[in-house]
Amino acid sequence: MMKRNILFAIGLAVFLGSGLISQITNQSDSAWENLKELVLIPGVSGYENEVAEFIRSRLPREVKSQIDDMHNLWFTVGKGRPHLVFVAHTDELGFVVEEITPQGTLKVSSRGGFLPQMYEGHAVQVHTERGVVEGIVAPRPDYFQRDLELSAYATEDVNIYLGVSSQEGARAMGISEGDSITTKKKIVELSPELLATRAVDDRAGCAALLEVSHRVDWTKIENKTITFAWDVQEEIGLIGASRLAQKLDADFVFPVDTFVSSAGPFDSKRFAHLPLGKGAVLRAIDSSNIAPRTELEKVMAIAKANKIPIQLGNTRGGNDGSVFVPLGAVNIPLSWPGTYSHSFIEKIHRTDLEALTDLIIALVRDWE
Amino acid sequence: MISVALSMLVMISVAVLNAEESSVFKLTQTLFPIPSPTGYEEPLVEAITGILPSGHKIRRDNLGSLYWGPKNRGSQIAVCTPMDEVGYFVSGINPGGYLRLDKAVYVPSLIDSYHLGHSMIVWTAKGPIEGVLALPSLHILSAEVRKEFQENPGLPLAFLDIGVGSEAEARERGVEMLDAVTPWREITKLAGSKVAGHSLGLKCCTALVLNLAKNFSVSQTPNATFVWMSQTKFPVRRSHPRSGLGALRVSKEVKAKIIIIVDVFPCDVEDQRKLIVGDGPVLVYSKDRVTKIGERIQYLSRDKGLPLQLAPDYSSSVLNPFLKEDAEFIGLFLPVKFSQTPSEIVDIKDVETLNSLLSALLQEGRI
Repeated sequence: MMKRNILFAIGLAVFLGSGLISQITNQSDSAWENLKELVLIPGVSGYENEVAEFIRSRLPREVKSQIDDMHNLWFTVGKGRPHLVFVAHTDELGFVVEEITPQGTLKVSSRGGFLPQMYEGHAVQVHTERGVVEGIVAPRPDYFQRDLELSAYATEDVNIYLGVSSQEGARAMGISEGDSITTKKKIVELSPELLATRAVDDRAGCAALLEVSHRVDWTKIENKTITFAWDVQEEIGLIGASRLAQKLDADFVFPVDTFVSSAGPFDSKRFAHLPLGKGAVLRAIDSSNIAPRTELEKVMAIAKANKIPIQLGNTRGGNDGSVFVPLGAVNIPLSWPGTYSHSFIEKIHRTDLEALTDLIIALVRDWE
Repeated sequence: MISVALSMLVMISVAVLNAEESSVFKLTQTLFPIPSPTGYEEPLVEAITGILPSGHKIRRDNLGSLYWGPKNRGSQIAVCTPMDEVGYFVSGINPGGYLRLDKAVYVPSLIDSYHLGHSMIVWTAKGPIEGVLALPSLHILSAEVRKEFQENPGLPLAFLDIGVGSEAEARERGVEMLDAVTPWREITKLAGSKVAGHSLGLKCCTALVLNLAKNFSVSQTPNATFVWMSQTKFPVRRSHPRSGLGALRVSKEVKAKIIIIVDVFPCDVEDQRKLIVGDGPVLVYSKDRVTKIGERIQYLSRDKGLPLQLAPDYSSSVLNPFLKEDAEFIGLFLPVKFSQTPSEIVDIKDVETLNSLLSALLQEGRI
């Protein structure tokens, strides 16, 4: 009965709201195009300013954005309750220069969790004050041996060769301790609808929110408050989100981030087995949150009413919304299914990103 | 289709570095994107023959090596270089559309692991297809799979994702068994004149010999043969010392009094750490067979002020087959760092010096 009531209420809201907000069916591909630009911008956790500035520069003129000293970026529209906060994180995984050795190589610390062996033998970019310097992550010292018995390759083993042989040589190139390091990024377009690259987590979320910011008529928002936020340092402990949670006083928080799908060839299909290309995902349960069933049904009903393809599942990993929960908010994570998480080839399907974008528009419009 | 794609890749690659580089390195940039895994050297052969001037005869042996020299096969001098890189081929397509890979060469253990989680190109008859070698998703990674990736990250873990969901879809895109597969590659500019890329040293050597052939007219070098050897990384069964099959075939085919092998020299591996990338080419010779040509190169190096490093008695599967022949031979090698990794490092200065030494040798005609 309750479910039918929710469906009816949503159907009515859709009907009434149809003239207020731009048509969901009028899809554009700009979230997809935004994503392709956003993934290439360096933004290791703690170094997100370039990403934040890019997003800020692309926001519609009518919204008044704010940015704090951590480079959390947000804008708020409307007034009254409920207060809906949609949040995506701008940071990505990477390294930070810890030491410049006497031989001119770089020792690093990692920002976020990943397999450091992905970097072994590959090119990286050091982001210095004077610009990008390229280097190579040296293979382990016995790399040329045949029948080598391998052990785990750790962050402590990472040693970046720049082509110089002294610390002075490295400093002359502009390198300093504290510089951030990313892989030399590349977008692999597996098909027009499918790409694999670094930092889809969570630039896809950023791209979706940016796209929605242009497709909503913010002057028509009534009887609720909407905040769109792009926060920092998610990968190293939800640090930016914690600051925002204190500041924003949300009733409902919708973190927009990857649903780690087990659709890859190595993954157990016991859970998280949501395929790519079948729509947005409602990340019902993960390592940091259990979304209330009532709210899940409400989102599913809004999606259904708007003919938005949506999947429901559980996975692992945390999300930014979880730090809003102790302060009283309800956390409803929105996602797309992604494989090869925390790698250089995070894979995403365009259909899913577009469905996610449409879902956010529908929630902004129809959620009461 | 492949030609068009290659042209685009060449244009992209050439655009990477600015115009300050040498003519040999410009030629290297042209050849760099062209795949040439062992046994699949045809695209590179096509590119080389397209650049070679007219005059000499072009011929091939039955393993695919390319010879450019006098018609009668006999010559005073032969300059030989390998042209095959470490690469893979499609060995299967699973029901989910993932391509399984294999390789036909015996190489350092770590080679396959570098490519897991990175992009690769499948060279199909319909054109190149880009894919990525799958990785487990970190958040849902089991302890067993993690251990396997850390301790045994080889081809059994290689699943090439080309963005399809079935074997039929993969075949529809043109994938067939034994299609060549190579890593996606790009040149990385390091400090000074050092550059890095997949099989970059090999492509420098290929380009260097091509540059010599291009710059010396047939009338200037009537008795010189230039050879680009295929299948040098495929081992001859039960060979001691270890020999590359293609090199062995060339050693039998080439009838020259003097043979110069141009190849890469891994500097940062055991026993060779005293040699340095950027300090000049490496003269490889046998202490027991001091040759006039070796002495001549050392003289030229001193006379022209060109740096040269020495590596007596260095052994490699490319050099070894020539040990048994009667010809006077030496190796004049390009020092490389991180050999056979995705980022093989060379110094353009070394490439230039090697070119100058070989040019001087060919030019003086006193050999």
